[in-house]
Amino acid sequence: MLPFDFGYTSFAFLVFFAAVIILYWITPKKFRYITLLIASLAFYAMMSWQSLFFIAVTIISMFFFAKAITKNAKESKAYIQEHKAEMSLEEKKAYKEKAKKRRKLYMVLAIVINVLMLAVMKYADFTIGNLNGIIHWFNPDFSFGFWHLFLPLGISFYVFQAIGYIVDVYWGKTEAETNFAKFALFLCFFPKVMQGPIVRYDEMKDSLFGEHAFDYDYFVMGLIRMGWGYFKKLVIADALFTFIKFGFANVDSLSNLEAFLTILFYFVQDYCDFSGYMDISIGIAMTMGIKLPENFARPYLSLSIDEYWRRWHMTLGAWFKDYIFYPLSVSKLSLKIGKASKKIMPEFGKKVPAVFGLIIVWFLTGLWHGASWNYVLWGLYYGAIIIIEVIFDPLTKKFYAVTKIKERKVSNIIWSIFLWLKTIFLLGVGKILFMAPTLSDAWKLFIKMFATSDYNNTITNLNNQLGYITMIVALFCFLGVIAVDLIEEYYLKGELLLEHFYKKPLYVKWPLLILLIIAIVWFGYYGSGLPHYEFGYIQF
Amino acid sequence: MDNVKKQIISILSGIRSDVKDWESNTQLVHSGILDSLGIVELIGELSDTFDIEIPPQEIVYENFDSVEGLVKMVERLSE
Repeated sequence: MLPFDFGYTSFAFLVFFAAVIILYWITPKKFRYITLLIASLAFYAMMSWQSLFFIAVTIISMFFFAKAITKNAKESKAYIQEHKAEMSLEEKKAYKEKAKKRRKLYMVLAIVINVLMLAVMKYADFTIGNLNGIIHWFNPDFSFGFWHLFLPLGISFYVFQAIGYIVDVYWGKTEAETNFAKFALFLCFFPKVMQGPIVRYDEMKDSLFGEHAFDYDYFVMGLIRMGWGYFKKLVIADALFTFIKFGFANVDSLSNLEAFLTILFYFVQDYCDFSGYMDISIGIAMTMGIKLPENFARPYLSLSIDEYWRRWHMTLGAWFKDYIFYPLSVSKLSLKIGKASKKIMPEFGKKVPAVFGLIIVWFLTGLWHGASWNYVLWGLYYGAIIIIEVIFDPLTKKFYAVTKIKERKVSNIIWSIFLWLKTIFLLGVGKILFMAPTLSDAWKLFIKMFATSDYNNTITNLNNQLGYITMIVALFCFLGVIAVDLIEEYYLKGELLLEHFYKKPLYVKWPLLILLIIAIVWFGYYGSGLPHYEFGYIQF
Repeated sequence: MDNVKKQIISILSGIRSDVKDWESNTQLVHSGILDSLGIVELIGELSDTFDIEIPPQEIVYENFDSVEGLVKMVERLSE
């Protein structure tokens, strides 16, 4: 580890970023990907040099296996083309099947190597703990020792992207990359290596390896986007996290107001931390003319849990949908189960394959977030809600048809507010499950919100942990974040405010930008006196 | 109207009875009429009706965004 902090919020990183940007734009277009690869490896090594070995295993294994798949596909196609006159239909079919099996073997080997590595590094102690639990029933004196392995930086993110890549190559959706340095850059591009977004090779390659001309507007918009991310992280998320940590660590002694504030602050912090990171990452990429996919689409404006998960950490959801949900749900086994269920329950039976896929996806989503049963339960909690929404879908549709109510219509605003409150409540329970150290703490915190208690200590605790001004500034700023979300949702119909803001005259733009910089520097770095924290999703 | 198309429209109507005009819509997935659950349900029904296997790599906009795309896919996989 470095003797100093090198994360996005450190001064050292800003120096690094400035150096990379200068080097990137002065490098001849053709070789810019090499500059970026060197910068990305340097960044990764400075963040965690021990992790280099693991990302190298992924890069090397995926690169060569994917190349072998594309080579096999091309050669077998050429062979059939060359011998089509002398081969019978059956022979051609048998030859194609054999070649396909070979390609499948390459894909499976690549996936097994990488999943094993992820499983061992991330889940070894979790598995040992569970094994010990079972063994203790039979022999209380015996237990396996824990391995205490370290978690390679970003492993959950880059392994998923690598699996997506090799599956796409196997499916023939994209050809394998033949340039090793370009492929390495795809996996370790520094703005996305720690926490995503989880990108697909075929969607990313043109932008990442494209020989961009310098676009001043896009560059400045990138800087503004970064500033917005720093604002969310430093002024809002970090300011509230001290109290959140205090709240979750002292569940027993909280008053009901403190319990409520812990959860309210966590709502705010969770969003500003993760989406703030994404704003910085997307902004950095923009300054290099590169477009990273959006990972958030105003999630707290959702009117159902299903909708929320299509707006929060969108690239993870898309990955699970493409590479787990669809392959599982449309597998022969799943469709067979569906067919059998249809005989017993004609309507619900049709949905059984999707429900089967959802259960597995949400179990894995839970496990992906962390090696503990808390996370698994958290995943299954959301899975259960979405499955209930699926089961009641025909009834819901009938209800809307009969009552003629439409969501998000001004005339049906009370109904929309009801749906929103229901969603926020269910999310609140999910967030408690996610953050509470134990299930019993989660339950206590939930109950605390509705219990009567005295408020004597609340004000002192709040002031001791945060200071009134920091808290009020953070919450006031969050209202600004929500205002931006509302404008994008209802006024701009889903477009980003950034481009519209950028087109505004200088006398509108600059005062606001100066305010943003002052807020980041003053409340973020100097004023609050509170510590800064790592971005939350780094631990995954 | 040809038979495959007729059967596909009847299956689609079973999934979304509130949608009346299927043929002219070329944004079935993009517009949200068919979500991921609808796509899985549709694949189950298509596999049953036409006795075909629809592997996951076939789940692309080109095949699922319009009735025409679905007809083409079903005909190709039936060969």
